[in-house]
Amino acid sequence: MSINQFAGLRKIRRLVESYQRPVDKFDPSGSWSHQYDIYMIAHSNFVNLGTIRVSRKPSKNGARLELLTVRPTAEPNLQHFTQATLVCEGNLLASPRQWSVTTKIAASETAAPYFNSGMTKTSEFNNGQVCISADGKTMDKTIPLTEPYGCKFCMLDAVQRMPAEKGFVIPEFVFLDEYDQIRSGYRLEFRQNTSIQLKYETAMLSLFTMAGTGQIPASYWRDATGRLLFFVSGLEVYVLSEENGIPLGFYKEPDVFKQSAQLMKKEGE
Amino acid sequence: MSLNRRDFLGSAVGGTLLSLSGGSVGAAPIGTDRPNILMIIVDQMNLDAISAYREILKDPAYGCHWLNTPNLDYLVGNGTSFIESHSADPICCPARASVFTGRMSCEHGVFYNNIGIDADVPNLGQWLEREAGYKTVYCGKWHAGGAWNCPTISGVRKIPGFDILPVGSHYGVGRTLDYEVSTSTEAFVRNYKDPRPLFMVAGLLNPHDICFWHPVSSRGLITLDEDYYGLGEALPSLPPNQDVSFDETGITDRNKIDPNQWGDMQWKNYIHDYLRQIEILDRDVGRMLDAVRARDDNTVVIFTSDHGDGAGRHRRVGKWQPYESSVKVPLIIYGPGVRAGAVDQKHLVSGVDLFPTVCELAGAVSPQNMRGYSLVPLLRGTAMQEWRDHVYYSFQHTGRCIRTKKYKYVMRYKFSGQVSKPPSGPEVPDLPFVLKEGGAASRFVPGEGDRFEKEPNEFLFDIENDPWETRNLAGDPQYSTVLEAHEQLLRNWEAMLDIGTRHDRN
Repeated sequence: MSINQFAGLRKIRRLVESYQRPVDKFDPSGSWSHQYDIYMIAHSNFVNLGTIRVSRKPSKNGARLELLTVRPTAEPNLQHFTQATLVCEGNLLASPRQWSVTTKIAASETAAPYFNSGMTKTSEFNNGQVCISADGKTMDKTIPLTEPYGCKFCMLDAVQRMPAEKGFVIPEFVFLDEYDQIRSGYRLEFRQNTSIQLKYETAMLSLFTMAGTGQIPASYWRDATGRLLFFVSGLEVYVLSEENGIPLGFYKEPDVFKQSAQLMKKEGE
Repeated sequence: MSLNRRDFLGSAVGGTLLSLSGGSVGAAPIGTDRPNILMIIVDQMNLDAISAYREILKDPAYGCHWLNTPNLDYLVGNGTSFIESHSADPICCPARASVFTGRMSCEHGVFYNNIGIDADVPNLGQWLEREAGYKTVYCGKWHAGGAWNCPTISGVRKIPGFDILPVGSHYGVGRTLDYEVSTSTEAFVRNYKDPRPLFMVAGLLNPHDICFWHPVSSRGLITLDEDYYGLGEALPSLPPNQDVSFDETGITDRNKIDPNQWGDMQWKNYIHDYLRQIEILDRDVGRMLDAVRARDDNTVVIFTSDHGDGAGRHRRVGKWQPYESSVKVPLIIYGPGVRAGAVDQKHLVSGVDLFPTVCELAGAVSPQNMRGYSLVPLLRGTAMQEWRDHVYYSFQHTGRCIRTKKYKYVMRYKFSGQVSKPPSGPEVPDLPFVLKEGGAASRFVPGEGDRFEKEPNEFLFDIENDPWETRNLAGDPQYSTVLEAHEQLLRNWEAMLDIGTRHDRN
């Protein structure tokens, strides 16, 4: 099938066709570290807006995830950091049970927050509700949280173990966007396996799509090992750019979107 | 008093009378219990896209029936909100400059995007810092002057009168970067312990991301022509006014999408995704509200938008039009002393009302020549005798509107000439942007033959009976008296304005 038939992937076709997958074996249930480049499509340009690194360590009942998101600010010497530690269930959605999230504007990951911009929130799920505290002293709120539930960034892990089988669907679940705001009415389903041309190979990739409250419809694209390569939602694009510290090659110039549009137009002619 | 005598008398001409309850407007002495104020200003959000309004805006074509905004619903349920809330000039910079100066576009000089505020006109930060001793902090999208979105800590992108948290939509997209704004604002509000009261502004860019669904920037790749994601009944119904028969000459064509370009499915996907972006910003609002609730103090929250979005009405996307979808903006105020659960459907309010409102809340005297009025009496529910009977707004450089409860009168001089090269002038540093519409940024001279049509195109809509603006009554002899009365309101209003150095008026 032509890549242009896939609403998510065709936006970054130029990048996909230059993409070099990791060569190592991958076990989504094991220990691994993935870094994604975060891009946004703006004014037809393809703009890099930082990175998110997901590190997974399996545990008895699930896994521990360490996440670090680094985004640019308006100042070249400052960045916005979101560092999160999550203890996740071994279920389909890798539902977090306990998590701690620190955000700040700072000169580096270890530097002090700039101008009162730093805070830490901790959350714990128990008996159908989540309790959120801030800076370890204020019990901010307790919110009902219905299972099953997932989390935007835990999905970068969870989707890698979902069955790529016809009919697989999680028809309704609750979602934590970022880490603290809860929305219902999510649906995720396996759509199909299909051959996609990458730089040196035609790879069999699996497509899952997700929609819900506050979710621009999204596509997750994984390879046959389960490794999540691309996440595309509206203007937002995540591309696997490092596995276990090894960088991956792909075309990432600002004209990715424009070139992809040209490729689609050319194919249509 | 936040109104000077000339404003008062000027607005009283032509049947308008403003009479405010005694003692509710004016300066409280500095040192009294002045609240912290958090102003959240978003970009391109329609007033009707708040789920709490479903019982008020019953037509299923309104956005409120197709999304869930629990945090905005909380504000509506626990604060006072306004259904007749209007942008002062429905495009980013002019609207924002009006919010932050309390003046109209031709006065503060930002009559188009990417022009700086006239240096003689103070902004809210400068005013509250100087007149009321507030700590003033800005985080996120500013774009109230200058060709940039987000401020820096120092230099030309430092906003006068504010300390800066330098995050947000500096690349022109809100998704992912609005998260920086909401978390940084949340942290700052939680951490704030200074004895001075705090005035903080959080500028979120979304749902402005929807601009990139436009056929030109999306290049056929963003706005889908099929139900690719199997959304089915979650796709919203289409507005009833997509096709209208009146002549729209004078209104920008840029945001009108031809039926040959977009069919029903593209519009449904467009509106669907637009509403999802509002749900995303609702989460950012929730984060900041968590901080306010955790403080459990006297913090007042103001939520508004600079302008709305076409959302398919009149087959339009974007803003910059005189239609309700572009002009009506959410306005919610929440906090101690503010009536809870009051949805005001009666009073016409404007973006220029926020400056005097904030001043009164802060116990500061407003600057002279405010074009709006403090909303505090409406927030307190104190006795109001009368309120204005029309609001004014400008649009698209030469467009002007008078909106009464029943009618909307619109006039615009279409640009018709050519400007061979950009005029130069130190007071308009970003002039080439203005030239998109025809230049002459330093002068607004309606009827000056080679640049503007001599006769304006006029609309008159009966908003009460035709809320979707489908019938232009301007040429109907039955309405000639109504038309003239509204023209007079417009003339009276404009006679009162102090036109800035960048405009002339004839």
